[in-house]
Amino acid sequence: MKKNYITIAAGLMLAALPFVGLSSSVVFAMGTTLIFAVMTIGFSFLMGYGGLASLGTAGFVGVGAYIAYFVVEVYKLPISVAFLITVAISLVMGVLVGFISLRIEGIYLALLTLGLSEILRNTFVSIKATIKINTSTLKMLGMPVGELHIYLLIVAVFIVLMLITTNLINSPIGRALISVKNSPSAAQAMGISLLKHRVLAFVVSTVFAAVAGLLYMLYVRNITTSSTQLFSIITSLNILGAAVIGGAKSLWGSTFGTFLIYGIQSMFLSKIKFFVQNPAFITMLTGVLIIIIVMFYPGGLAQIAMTLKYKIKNLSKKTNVGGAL
Amino acid sequence: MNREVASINLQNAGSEIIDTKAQTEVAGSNIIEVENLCMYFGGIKAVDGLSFEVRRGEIFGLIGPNGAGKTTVFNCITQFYRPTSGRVLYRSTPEAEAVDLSTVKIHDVSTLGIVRTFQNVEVVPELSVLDNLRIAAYRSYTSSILTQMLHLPKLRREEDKVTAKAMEVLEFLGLTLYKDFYAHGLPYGILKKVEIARTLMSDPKLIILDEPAAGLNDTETEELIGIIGQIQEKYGCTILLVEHDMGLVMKVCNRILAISFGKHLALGTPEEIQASPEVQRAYLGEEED
Repeated sequence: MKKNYITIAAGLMLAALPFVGLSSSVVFAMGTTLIFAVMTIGFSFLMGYGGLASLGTAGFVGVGAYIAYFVVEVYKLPISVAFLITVAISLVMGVLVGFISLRIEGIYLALLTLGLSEILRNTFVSIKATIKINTSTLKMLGMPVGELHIYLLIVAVFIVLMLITTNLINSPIGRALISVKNSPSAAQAMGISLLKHRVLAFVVSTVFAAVAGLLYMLYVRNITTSSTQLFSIITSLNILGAAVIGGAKSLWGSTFGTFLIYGIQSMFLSKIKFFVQNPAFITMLTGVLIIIIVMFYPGGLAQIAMTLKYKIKNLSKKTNVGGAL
Repeated sequence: MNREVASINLQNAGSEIIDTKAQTEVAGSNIIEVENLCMYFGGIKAVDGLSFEVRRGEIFGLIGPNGAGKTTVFNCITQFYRPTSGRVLYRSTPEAEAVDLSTVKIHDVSTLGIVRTFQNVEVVPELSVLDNLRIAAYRSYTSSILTQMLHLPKLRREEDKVTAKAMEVLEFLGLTLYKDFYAHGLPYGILKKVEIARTLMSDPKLIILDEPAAGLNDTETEELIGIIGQIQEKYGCTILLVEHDMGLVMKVCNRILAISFGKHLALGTPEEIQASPEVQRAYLGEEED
């Protein structure tokens, strides 16, 4: 419960950002980073709690983006309809991949989802290489919607999904997922169905990725599929990296990981001449970070934070932990 | 008393083991009936035409040399394996219809009241001891996924109920101190106890223990003997166990079935089994003269 209040407070702070005099480019970078954070939360749930690896995030992001384009721009329907269709279609896709995950595990599952994602990407390119939403067509409740409104929508979606996922993790379902991940045979002996929970983990991550794609389309409004990295393996790997760096078992940790990978890149590194000329060095930086984290802090930044918290607590209390035994 | 009578009978009958099967044939008095069970892995006959029954309320031991197929029998009962042929019938109460366990899905076996432990402890390392017990009551939750997503009051009430039950079980096994510890890194003896505690969370009728004393020292084994007795007394359930520690088996079991190479060797009370020449031959090898 206390956790939920912190999440809501963080949401209010994020929502206040555009009103405290930050430049619009910083707010925009924040908005896109939050969209990627939505993907990371879903992915962390899948990897940290479901114990399943997927490299298919980017494909599902594309599904959301293309649904947004067709529903809002081509058929001129409201954003809420696009949202519902996105959730419905990605839910079905999540169920399908979840069924596959019962038979194929580990690296093979990652490869399979990667293949699926690439198939989706190529399908998108052949359907329409560039998707674009005109500013004037975007309306919510009959009012024209600007960039600021979409930013607030992103913050709202991010916080709601964060709350839902946190609640799920701290519920019987979350514990069941961890037991499926740690020990499938013990889980089954305790009456937990592997299939149901793996499907659930995939549905969550797929729906989150697709919703992120929808938000991205509404926010950025212009995507050239053939040239962007957004729907390619780079995005899937970055999301994986963010979850690993932040700690896949901590939602705020992996959100922070997303900021390290996407936020710092779009807010600071993109302004440094060296990195603008050599964008490959940014990817390299991410790689080095992942190696360091995996080697020294397998639990990610969340583990460092927990260790620090524990140490500070001990210092202030001066209690001997070993004495408890 | 019974044991004495049995041993006298044993002397009368020479070295012949009494056919205990004929003694009681009241329908429903058996909780498990294994009929002609076969489990083949390719050419290896792990279990080969085994039949036995476990009576309600007894502590039944399954012994045999390494590779005799003891764990395979357990896996066939709990549906981790689908038997090649034969069947396992289960009656949760004396009045209940017999259920053929091969028609039950593996994750539904626990809802019938059959719970098990594993040879190598299968405790969830990323959860606290308390949470390890709470997942064992997973099927008792009726909260929908939506209730869990929103943490509605109904979930809170159910969680409180399960937590209270878990605390009671922890208290019973003397694990209260460890409730907030992560299972990862706890001593082996404690983990074994946590696994037994977990079986008590789902109102079991039949507890299947796969080598409960493996890896325990003498003091811990002594404690385990006490625990097994207490569980049977307090929860009134039937216990079926596989064990290599003969001291433990002889002390706690009411009846013992010895098997070798997947085949029936001898069935009877601990004394009968100890005296059985077939069992001695299986364990110690053929005498040469």
